[in-house]
Amino acid sequence: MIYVKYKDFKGTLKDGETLLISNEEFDNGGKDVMGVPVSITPDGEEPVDMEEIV
Amino acid sequence: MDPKILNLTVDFTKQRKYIEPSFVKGDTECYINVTTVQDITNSTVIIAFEDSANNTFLDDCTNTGANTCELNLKSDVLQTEGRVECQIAIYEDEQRLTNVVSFFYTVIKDISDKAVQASDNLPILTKLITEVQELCDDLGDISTVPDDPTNKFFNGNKQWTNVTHDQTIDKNSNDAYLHRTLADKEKLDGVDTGANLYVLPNDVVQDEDYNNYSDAEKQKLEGVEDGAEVNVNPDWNATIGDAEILNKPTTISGYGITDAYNKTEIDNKISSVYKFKGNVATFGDLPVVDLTVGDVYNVLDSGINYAWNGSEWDDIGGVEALATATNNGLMSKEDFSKLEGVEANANYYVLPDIEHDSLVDKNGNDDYLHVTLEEKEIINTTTDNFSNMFKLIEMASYRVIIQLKMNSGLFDFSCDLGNPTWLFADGTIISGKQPSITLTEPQMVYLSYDRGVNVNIDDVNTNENFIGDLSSLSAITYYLRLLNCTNITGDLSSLSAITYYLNLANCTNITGAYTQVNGTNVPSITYLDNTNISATDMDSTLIAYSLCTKDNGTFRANGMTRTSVSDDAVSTLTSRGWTISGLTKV
Repeated sequence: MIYVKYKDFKGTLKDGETLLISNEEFDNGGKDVMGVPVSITPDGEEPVDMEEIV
Repeated sequence: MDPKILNLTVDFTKQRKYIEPSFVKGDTECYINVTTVQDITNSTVIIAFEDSANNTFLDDCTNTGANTCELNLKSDVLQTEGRVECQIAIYEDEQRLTNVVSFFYTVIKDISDKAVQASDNLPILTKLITEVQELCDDLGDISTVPDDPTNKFFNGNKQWTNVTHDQTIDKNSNDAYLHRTLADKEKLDGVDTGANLYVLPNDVVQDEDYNNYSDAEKQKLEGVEDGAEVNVNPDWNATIGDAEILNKPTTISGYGITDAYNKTEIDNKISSVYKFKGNVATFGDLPVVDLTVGDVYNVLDSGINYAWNGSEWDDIGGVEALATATNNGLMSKEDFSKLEGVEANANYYVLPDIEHDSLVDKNGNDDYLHVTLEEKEIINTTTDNFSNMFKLIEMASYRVIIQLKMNSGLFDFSCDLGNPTWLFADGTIISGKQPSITLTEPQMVYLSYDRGVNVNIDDVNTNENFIGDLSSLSAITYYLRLLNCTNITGDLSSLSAITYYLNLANCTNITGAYTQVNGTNVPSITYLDNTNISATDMDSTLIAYSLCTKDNGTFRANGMTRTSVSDDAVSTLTSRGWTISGLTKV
């Protein structure tokens, strides 16, 4: 998974890319982003895949 | 010539005898000085006069102090010779405030001028004559001498009065005779030797017998009614005196009691009550003569009491009825036997409606298994004997049974914890976490594990061979991982609220919203990648998660969509530490 930070987001993403937004960014415009997959984390850092720790 | 003064001390509450002075007729310098016991500051002392000719006069005294006043006698009360009666009292606002006190004085003739005029050349003689004349005036008419003047005395009232002789001793120790009036003698005889003049105190009154009483005693006496007595305790037995009680009642009615029986009435009633007469051995021993209504005997062999009613012996104990649900009574012999057959502390148990069904147990023994009607219905509607057995085991409440509908191929499910047991269609039973066997035909595989244990269910590599439905997994509450199970069907709403891990990634036929979460009963990790969940159901799921209280979770749904309806839910979750990833807003 390739994450593109919200500050670097130009309006489009390539296949396999996901827009990475912090909670603050989500509340300040990020929630209006449509048509692209978005991952929102509390601090804007990439999410950790939890599957391997189960 | 000095003025003639009469000094009076007057107590208007008492009668006193005052000396009786004399005033010379025509004198004008005559005064009566009055000293009162009462305060006359705001009052007036008035004196009324009546001379010997019955002429009356009235004059006010002039106050000279709080208790003193004086009156200059006017000539009109000195014009008539003879005795003048005076009455004095205190007035205020023309109202008399006190008793009237009386006293007298005498107006005598003035003959001095005549005597002087008659002997101008011998003034000494004139004076002597005057004095003699005054003496004669004082003596009055002595021309009428009694026939026997012995023992007579011409007194101040110009009357002859009897006198007596009494032998006494004069100051020179000489026996002598003193001449006194009889009245004086009688008065003197009535005075004890050494007697003192006693003036009754102001606050003491005297009754007609000369007994003295204080004001307080007088008021007390005035408050006592005539004939009053001190309290007397009545004595029922007293026959005389103040303690005697008169008119004592001798009957009940005499006391005013009308609702009590008298002796005759009580005697009549007692005559008809039961009277215990004694014991007899048997009923046949009861007496037959000299009987009175009410006689009662105790028959010893039966313990029954019988009373004579005038014609026969009556069992006064009657017949005791058997106990009922609402009335106390005797116990029947049947009930006694029944009660005797109940063990101590036995409980009431209602046997459920059961029927018998023939099943083969795991050892192949044909036996009867007792089931409820509900259980029988389940059995009858299921053709799979294993299913029946698992159902029954599940109903035993100590194991959880999960049915896994499988296609042929690899069966690679695992169940961590809970003593898992796997039962296959050919009767194979495997106890262990992960059997990993290849099924030769489609079948139902049963997983049994201990109830109450948070087991982890994972399809591992079973994947598309699992052809079951989410509804068969509703018992799972902690961990469920069905990754890549592309043939499983079902709605998320059929699952329980899983509390830790839910992974249905790539289960492409899964639909619905997962909204039965609540409080902390929500997966900490949720993967719903590439499922068949709609954007609307995803919104509902996110909103349900946001309403839970668990923080710092992970929600991933790659390839899935949501709408603006869940914007606030996403904001809420991420503000509480959640990561929401993979969703595309549409």
